[in-house]
Amino acid sequence: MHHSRYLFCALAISSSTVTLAESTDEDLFFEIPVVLSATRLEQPASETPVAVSVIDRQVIEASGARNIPDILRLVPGMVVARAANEFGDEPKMVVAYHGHSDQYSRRMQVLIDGRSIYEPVLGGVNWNMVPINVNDIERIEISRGPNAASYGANSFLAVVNIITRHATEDQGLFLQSNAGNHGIHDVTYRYGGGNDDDIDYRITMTTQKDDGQDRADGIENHDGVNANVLDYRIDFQLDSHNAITYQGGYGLTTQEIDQNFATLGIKPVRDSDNTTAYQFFKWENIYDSDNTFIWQYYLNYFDRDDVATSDVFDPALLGLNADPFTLNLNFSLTARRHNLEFTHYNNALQDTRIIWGLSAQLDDVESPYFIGAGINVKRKTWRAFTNIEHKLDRANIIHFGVLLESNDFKGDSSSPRLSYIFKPYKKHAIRLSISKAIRQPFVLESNANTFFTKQLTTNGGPLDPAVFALLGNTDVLFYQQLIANDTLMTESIISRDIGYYGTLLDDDLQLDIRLFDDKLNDLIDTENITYPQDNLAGVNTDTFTNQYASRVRGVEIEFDYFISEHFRLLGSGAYINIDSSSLIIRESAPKRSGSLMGIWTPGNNYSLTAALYYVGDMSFTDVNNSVNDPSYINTRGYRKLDIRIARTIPIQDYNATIGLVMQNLLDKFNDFDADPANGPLLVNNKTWYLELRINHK
Amino acid sequence: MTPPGLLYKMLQTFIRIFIIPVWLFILPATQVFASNDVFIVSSPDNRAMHAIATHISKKLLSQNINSALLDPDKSSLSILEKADLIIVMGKRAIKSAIEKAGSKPVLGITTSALPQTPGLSQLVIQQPLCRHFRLIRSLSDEIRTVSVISRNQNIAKKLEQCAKQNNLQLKLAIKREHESLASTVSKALESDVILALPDKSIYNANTVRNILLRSYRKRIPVIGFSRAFVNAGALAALHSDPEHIAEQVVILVKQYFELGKLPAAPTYLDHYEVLINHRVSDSLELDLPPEQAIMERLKADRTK
Repeated sequence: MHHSRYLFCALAISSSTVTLAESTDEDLFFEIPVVLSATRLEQPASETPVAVSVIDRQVIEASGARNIPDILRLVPGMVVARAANEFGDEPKMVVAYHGHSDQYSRRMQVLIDGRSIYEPVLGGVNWNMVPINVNDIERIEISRGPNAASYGANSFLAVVNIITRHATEDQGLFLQSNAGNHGIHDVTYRYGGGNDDDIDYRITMTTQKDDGQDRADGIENHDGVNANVLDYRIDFQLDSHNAITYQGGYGLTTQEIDQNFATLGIKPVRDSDNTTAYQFFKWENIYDSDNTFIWQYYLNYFDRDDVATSDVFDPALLGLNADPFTLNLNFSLTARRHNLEFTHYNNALQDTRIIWGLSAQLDDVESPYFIGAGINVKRKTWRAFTNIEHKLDRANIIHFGVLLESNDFKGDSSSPRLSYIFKPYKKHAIRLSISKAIRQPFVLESNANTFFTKQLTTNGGPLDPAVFALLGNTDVLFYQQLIANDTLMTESIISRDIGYYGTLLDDDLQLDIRLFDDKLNDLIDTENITYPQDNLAGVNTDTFTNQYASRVRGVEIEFDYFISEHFRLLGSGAYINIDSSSLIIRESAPKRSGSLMGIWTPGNNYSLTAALYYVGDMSFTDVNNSVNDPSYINTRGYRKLDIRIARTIPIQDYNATIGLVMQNLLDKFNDFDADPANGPLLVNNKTWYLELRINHK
Repeated sequence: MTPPGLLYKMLQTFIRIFIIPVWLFILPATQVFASNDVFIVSSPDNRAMHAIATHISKKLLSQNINSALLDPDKSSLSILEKADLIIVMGKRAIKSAIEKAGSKPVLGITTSALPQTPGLSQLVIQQPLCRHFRLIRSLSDEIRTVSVISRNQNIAKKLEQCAKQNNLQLKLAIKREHESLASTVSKALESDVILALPDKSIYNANTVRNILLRSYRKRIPVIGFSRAFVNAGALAALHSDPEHIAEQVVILVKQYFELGKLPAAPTYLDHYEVLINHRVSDSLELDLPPEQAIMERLKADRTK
């Protein structure tokens, strides 16, 4: 009886409280799919097994960047440059981490939503042709250091993982137009919708145009880009446990190509037409609170249409009695990549998180110029990977990861990683890690067969006997430019680092410091050889060989400081020292580099961003092939200042933003000088564009 | 098949699909007639409420109180006049059952309080407003501002009161008719946490996805109102599962049989638990006290 009275009192106390009026049973009880699943939740920065830089949406927007490389300038140790048409190659933006890079930057993995966009024929990523709009990106995570266990092969010096926004985050209309000097004219249209139930979608159409860099003498250079991209994403929630994401993209890019320093004129002034397309399916099955299964498949397709006729070669200039001639050139290439992957996330054990998976990949490429007409190279790769995180207690975490790879071109390999994280305090972590990774030679390195052949005549008839004899008793000119090397091995890196990650000043300051010591072996580079069949006197043939080793040591620092509600300051700095028998590799990273970005939002919807970047002296490795000549160490240190001023005006359900982006406000500079003997040909001078944006709130 | 065989098969089918279920349904009711105990009116269509009804029935049985489940859509509710006590699940069923109950006492299980009616006692199974704020305060002393998205300005006063009691500052984001939910959510994201309160026009299976993703991107945790919400990605919620509710109903039923009356004013749940999504708290690097400590703090605060 006493018990009942007590309860009655307790109930009476409760009854004095209130709830929301008029709610129905359906308001309280409804099925909700798991939104923040194991795959979507970010690992705390203090617990990651490698150093990770994160560039979030606010920074991406505040930077006003038109392309992804411009955003990556903020990452410590990373250098961004414009390799513009050197030697008749197509212009491209280069993103390199810790040097060791030529214009293709092939020692870094790049993924979009887990889909590698590493180009299999020439290696690296052509950033002008990535079918993605900057406005669709939620954040970019950059693993600094090898991370093959998490991101797959070729996650060698660094990994750039671009994460796009879920379609539900981009509902309604989005329009943006940029217009400025250097022929900048961009238009983006995006619409996001859904059925208010289980389907969300967005479709983005973009056209971007600019006329590239200027020559140092002020003349407009032939290096413009016109990129048109259609990109879409559909998120389909089948039920509370199953979700499907389907993404696709189609890009058409016309790229102007100049020959600049090319002395032989093999690669003429021309335009190339490039088609980039992809299909990506992902099925996420949240089986229960401890198990999530992911199946994903993607197809990357790249097709370059680049057919040209060379300049006229006149043998008379060499004193040879033969008719002038041209070469029919076909620089086209086609690459398809199919990739199927299964991943299992398991949290069944209280202190242990296990991720494991399997994948199969097929690269299928053709390139008449690089690997020979009518030759189709197919490469099959199988992978198994696991990442295990075990919390010994609140202060001690161990990560183990390994990638096992088997392929039909270079055999088996393993890329393990071990990290120990010590968190004496919740907000301070010290990381010790050691990891190994390999880089598989890309198709050109292992299958190159580039040659030119031409039957010569004299006065339209048989070749002059003297020239005939000079060519080795033949009237056919044969020049082998590149030839494969069957003994080529994979490159390897062993990376050791000590890192500190802490949040300070009432969580307003995030600080990341990393000391690293990386040993790279069997680095691949071109080597001149004598090719017996070659009868073009004085011009050597190149092949790829494992030539160098290097040791990269240094320190990186990065901070993100929310000084007040209205002011955010981000900074990075790196000191990098490379030891190598190759001078060009020693100089391939700036000793000192850094960045500082301030984002000020004073109120009234105004926004001001200022970013200052510094890059010290360095050299990209494909500088005129003179690897040990100090005079060829070229790209001089430079500073770059970018400013963006913007104001957003709310108009009912829309925000209209008008902004002005000004780049390279300090002295003009060259960041990729390929031929120091002649001085920098191209410069980055002042660039500005107006940005007008309308988006649904 | 021979005609007798066919006849036998038809008879078997008839028994299986018609007689047995009817008999099974009537059987407990006849037992109630014998002991004059409890009728539970619950529509299987209202799945969540029906699950609670099943738990109540089992719990009553464990206390030697007979009960019978009645489907208001299939059975005549005139039978209710023969019960000693009627438990009705959900607002719709309450409205129809109360007319048929005559003078019999009705205990309505409802998500929000109905206007007080003679003969109707209510157990409200939604958590009281201030309890949500107490939960937020119990999670961390560092939380200063709480956003609530609502269509209704009238709730402001009650919310302000609860926030003030817990040293929290309320930021009410009113969803206006012409305004998109996304715009309202943007306003709500200007605080330390978002407190979600049940309202299907704001929080439903589709909108929750957007709200959780956006708040997570801004590292602003959401406090939900159900287990499903926490599983989906809310940081925490107060939750009373069917077992908790059944326990409280049994107490009320026993109290009725002992004292002969039920509380006239709506009663609120006193049996609940704290749910924490540890993956979210780990990812956001939030240092939360253990659930048990939060519960103790909640109970201690209530008695102040």
